[in-house]
Amino acid sequence: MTPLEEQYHPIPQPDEIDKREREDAMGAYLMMFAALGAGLPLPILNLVAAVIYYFVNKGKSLFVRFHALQSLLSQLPTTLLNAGAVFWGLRIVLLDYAFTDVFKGYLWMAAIANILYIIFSIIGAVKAKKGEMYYFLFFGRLSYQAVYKKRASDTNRIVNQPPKM
Amino acid sequence: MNKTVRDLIFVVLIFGGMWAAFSYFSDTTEQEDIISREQEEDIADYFNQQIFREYDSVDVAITDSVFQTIFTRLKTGMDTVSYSYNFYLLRSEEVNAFTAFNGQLFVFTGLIEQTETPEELAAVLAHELAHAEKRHVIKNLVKEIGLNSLILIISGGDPVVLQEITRLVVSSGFSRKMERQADEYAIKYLRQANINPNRLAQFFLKLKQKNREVPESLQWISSHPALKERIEYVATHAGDSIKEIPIDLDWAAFKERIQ
Repeated sequence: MTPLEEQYHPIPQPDEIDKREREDAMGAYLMMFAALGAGLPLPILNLVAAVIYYFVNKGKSLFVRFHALQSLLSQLPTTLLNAGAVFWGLRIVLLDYAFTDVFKGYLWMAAIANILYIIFSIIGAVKAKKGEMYYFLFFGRLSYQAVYKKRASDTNRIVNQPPKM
Repeated sequence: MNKTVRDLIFVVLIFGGMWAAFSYFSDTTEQEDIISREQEEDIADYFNQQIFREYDSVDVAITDSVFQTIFTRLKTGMDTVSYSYNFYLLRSEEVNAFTAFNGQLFVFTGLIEQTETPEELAAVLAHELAHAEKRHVIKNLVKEIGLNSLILIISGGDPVVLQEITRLVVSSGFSRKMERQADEYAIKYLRQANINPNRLAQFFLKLKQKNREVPESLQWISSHPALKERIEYVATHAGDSIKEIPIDLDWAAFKERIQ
């Protein structure tokens, strides 16, 4: 068992991250708000935007990739909750299902999830702009493991050699 | 990895708990209870004025005894009687009947024309009474235009908007579920009042037949969707045939009188 420091890539410190990286990382959180607004009637658009943003930016640096992934993962459950609320609501409006307490409770829960998501995204954006790591509950650890963990392909790098003379 | 799982369980528990707690502590007001009986009475007053402005009515002195005879019989089969019902006959070719607010029921002469026995009218009235007992009209309008606007519009009395509301109620555009419920209760009422519930299916069938000949005038049917489905529903749920006790009315004479 290799020690923990060797299993993971080192975390960059704020002074090692240039302005461009910080802004890309911040953008990962802020972009979601625009997409969230645009995708409101059918809350799936923001997810598409998040996936695109992640794949466009994942090559830039581990720092940017971490924040993009954390933003993507943390909005998955909120998106699903919102989609659930919309479809459940449509069923009630169009197909005349009952407006139950369970649905009301669901709406409250989804609303709180959205508010929490927005608050933590703002904090995440501010921290990213400052060049800091910021770990959401659960999603932070998950993203860290996904991004910073060393893979076999990283260590067994192919090294080009000159021909044998 | 352990801590990741722990966090996940934590998040799921928190949100699951929130859902359960909010469900437990919310007390959804049923839509039918949003409007008080007093409010509904006010609405009914305005609405009746509007109806009588738009339609000629047949003198209540002629019709009331007939309607009351049928209603008295139907009442024996109803488990709840929430309103003191009033019945009005409006002069119109339309084959239509509708429930308005506060137990005001309206039937068009065109519908009476189509009936051959008082039991057939009883079947139609049972259906409308079921709409009234289940407060479908209020539920529908509140759903359609919202409670506040409903009260504002009706008490404000703007004629154009009032006309639109009237149109909504007259065309009785209930949801399929409400129609199904009304049919279900109509069958129950009719059975318990010793009238054959198949009268309802019979009337539907007759209208379906007529519908082919004169499509425009048959409002009542066209606004009630999936007629075939409803005939089937009534026919299959009517239950064992019962011995019908006829309603003692001279139907031909009544139809003569309202001409």
